Amino acid sequence: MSVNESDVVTTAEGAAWEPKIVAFLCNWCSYAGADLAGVSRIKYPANVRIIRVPCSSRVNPQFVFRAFERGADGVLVAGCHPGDCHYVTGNYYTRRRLTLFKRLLEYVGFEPERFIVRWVSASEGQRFAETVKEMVDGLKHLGPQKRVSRV
Amino acid sequence: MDSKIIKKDKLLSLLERFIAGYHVLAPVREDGMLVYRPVGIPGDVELNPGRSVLPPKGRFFPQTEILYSYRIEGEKLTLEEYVEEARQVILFGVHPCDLRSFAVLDAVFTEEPRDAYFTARRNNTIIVGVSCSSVLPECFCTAFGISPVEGNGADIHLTDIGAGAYLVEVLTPRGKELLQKFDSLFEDNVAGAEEAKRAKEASLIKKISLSVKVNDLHEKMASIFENPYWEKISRRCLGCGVCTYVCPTCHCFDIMDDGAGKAGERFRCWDSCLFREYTLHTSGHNPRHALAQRLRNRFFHKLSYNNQRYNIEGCVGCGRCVALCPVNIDIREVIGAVRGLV
Amino acid sequence: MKEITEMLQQVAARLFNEGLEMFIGYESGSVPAKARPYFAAVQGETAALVFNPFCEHNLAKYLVRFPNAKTAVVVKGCDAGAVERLVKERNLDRTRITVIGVPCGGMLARERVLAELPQDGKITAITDRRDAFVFQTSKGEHVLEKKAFLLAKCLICTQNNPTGVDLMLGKEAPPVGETGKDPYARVKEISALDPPARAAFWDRLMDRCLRCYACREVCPACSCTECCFEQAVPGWQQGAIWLSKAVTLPDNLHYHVIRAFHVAGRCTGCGECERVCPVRIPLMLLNRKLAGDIDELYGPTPPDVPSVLCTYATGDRDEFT
Repeated sequence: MSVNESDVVTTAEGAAWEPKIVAFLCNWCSYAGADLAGVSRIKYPANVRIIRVPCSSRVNPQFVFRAFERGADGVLVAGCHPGDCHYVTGNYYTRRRLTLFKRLLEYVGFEPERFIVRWVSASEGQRFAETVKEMVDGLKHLGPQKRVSRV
Repeated sequence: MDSKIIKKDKLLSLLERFIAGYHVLAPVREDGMLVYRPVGIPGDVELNPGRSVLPPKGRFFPQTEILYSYRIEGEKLTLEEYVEEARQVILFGVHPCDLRSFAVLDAVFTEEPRDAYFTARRNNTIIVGVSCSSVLPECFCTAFGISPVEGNGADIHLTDIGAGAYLVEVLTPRGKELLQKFDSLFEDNVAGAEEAKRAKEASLIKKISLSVKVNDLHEKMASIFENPYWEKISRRCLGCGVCTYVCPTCHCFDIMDDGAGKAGERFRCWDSCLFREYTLHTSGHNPRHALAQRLRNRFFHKLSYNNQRYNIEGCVGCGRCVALCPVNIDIREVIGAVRGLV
Repeated sequence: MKEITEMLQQVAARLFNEGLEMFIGYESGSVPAKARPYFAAVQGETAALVFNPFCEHNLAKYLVRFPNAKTAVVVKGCDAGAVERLVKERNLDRTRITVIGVPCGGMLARERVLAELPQDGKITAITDRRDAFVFQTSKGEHVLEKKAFLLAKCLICTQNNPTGVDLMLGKEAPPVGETGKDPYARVKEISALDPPARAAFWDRLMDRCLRCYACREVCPACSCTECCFEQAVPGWQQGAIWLSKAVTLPDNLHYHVIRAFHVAGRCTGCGECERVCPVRIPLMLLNRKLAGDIDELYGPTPPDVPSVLCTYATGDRDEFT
């Protein structure tokens, strides 16, 4: 693990390293939440690459692993709060699935900060921004994800 | 060529010098398994190894090998090829069955059209053979005319002749050149060594429980292609790739690309004729759709096709597939059955 | 062991008289102390059937190869769940299958047994003496204590008598698993490591995976006719490939993590994946981790639900708030 005291990891080229986060956001809540963060001009780090999905339950755990392989330092999955799913029950399935998957990922050696699941509603722009900020801080502390990255 | 004697402690110092000057691959124990690994300490090396899980063929024909990579920058396309540079590697501790397997692979890869990747690795490798010290229940190399104490195919061959001494046979000019550098470690007294080796050979051969005749096999195979035997034996086959991946002579590979957009690489990796998609056509048609056909193909390749095409048996009797098949499909039984069927 | 073997042969003979088309059991292997799956298709082939402490294979998955035949299968306690699962997922028509249960006194680790028996001794009979197996060989009698010679999975076994069978042979076997053994002990040890140490533990193991797919092929829960890891698309069709055919650490880890997850809640714990692995990767450590978490978080799955991940409860534990 490359822990850097100064919180800034420097790459070989000398430029400050910035973590890459792939965020799978559900169309109905979390994507709208991220949108709200934007329109409300809430500041949050630009490290996040958003992929809009119809529902958080669309996120196959393999997407997460694939994102890590394609060079993501962290992966975020965000959906409606349980009970508020646009499709009524989608995020209940997500919750079971990703609870087990997150535990499995940690068991095989991924740091807990690398994979985050959060419920973010359409009105929680602030919460989205905070989630991203928190993640970036955590990832900067951990350093680049080199274990399964192929880039 | 000449023979010498080396004492066990001197053999360790020889290994130490090998390690100092070369990249050394040798059998070591890992979780109770014997595997070939790059070694840094002579003490880690198994001097009388026994059968490794994977054959040493990976030195010449790695499971995954990058052939070239590409990169596009603006209008410029850069290709980089990965033929191994002339870095000498010593492959230490290869048993006679695996030594024979190199000849089988040579027939495939070094004949025209020559495989540059394989050949480069082959040319960069000095092989130190070692006679067997024990016979495992699955061993049947003698069926293919291999002696457990002969080093054909090695540059240098070692035989433990007891009393902490090894008979060293120098079999190629390259082996001679290598050993000349370490002349002081050897003794010339070889009186009785040859006899000790013969005695060892006799006692080992006696222990090989199953002797099967194979010399007329490829002629017999042709007439049993359609025999229901293949369907029957395939019932328990899982269709996994264990037998092909642990086989010292299996050499099928697939070529694939990895990467997206501006950069990527082309690699080749082992493939197995037991896999469903091995013969799957783009159209969706699969000429070997049934497991029975795929299993039959494997045995035909080992026992018939290879001999026809390259004039060398495709099996060396190492027994790895017998030992590691999860459902005990035993090539010796297949040979026996083939003989009984025709 | 002799009694069960005889009973098996008799039952098979009777079933063939009643119109059976395929009997899936065990026969002796080609090397000492080995058994292997055996398929009897006609009355005359039943004499080769055996049962002994080397019949470690789970035969359930073979049932799907005979979708139209009246088939009988021999199951041990740890195999029975796999038949049930295949039926539950509608991979099998239960009405055409006869499940024959055998009481299991535990399966022996072949390597250890061979090291114990005299090298040139031929095994002539094996008897189960509750705490030990007694081997009669041409070189005399040998008592192998179960505690020292059973497979690791048998020492934590809680179900050595199969349930849900159509026909049970012999008397119920006494428990073989050692009492007080925690099946999750190793999982807990690994979980207690810090992330880099855990990563190092798995990387070392995954690095040697050959991707021979024996674990997948043997797994009764891996019942897809086409696997998501199969490369039926050419390499230039970018994006279609999720798992590279290259055997590299990331791809190996990808394969095993996702495969374990695909069988999460469906794995019956038979341990076949681990048995068939030629490079001895302890794959059950992945499956057991998931089983433990499922047990802790969701408890037993109701019988009418195909799998724990096919359902939910509104009150499920939420670790994401």
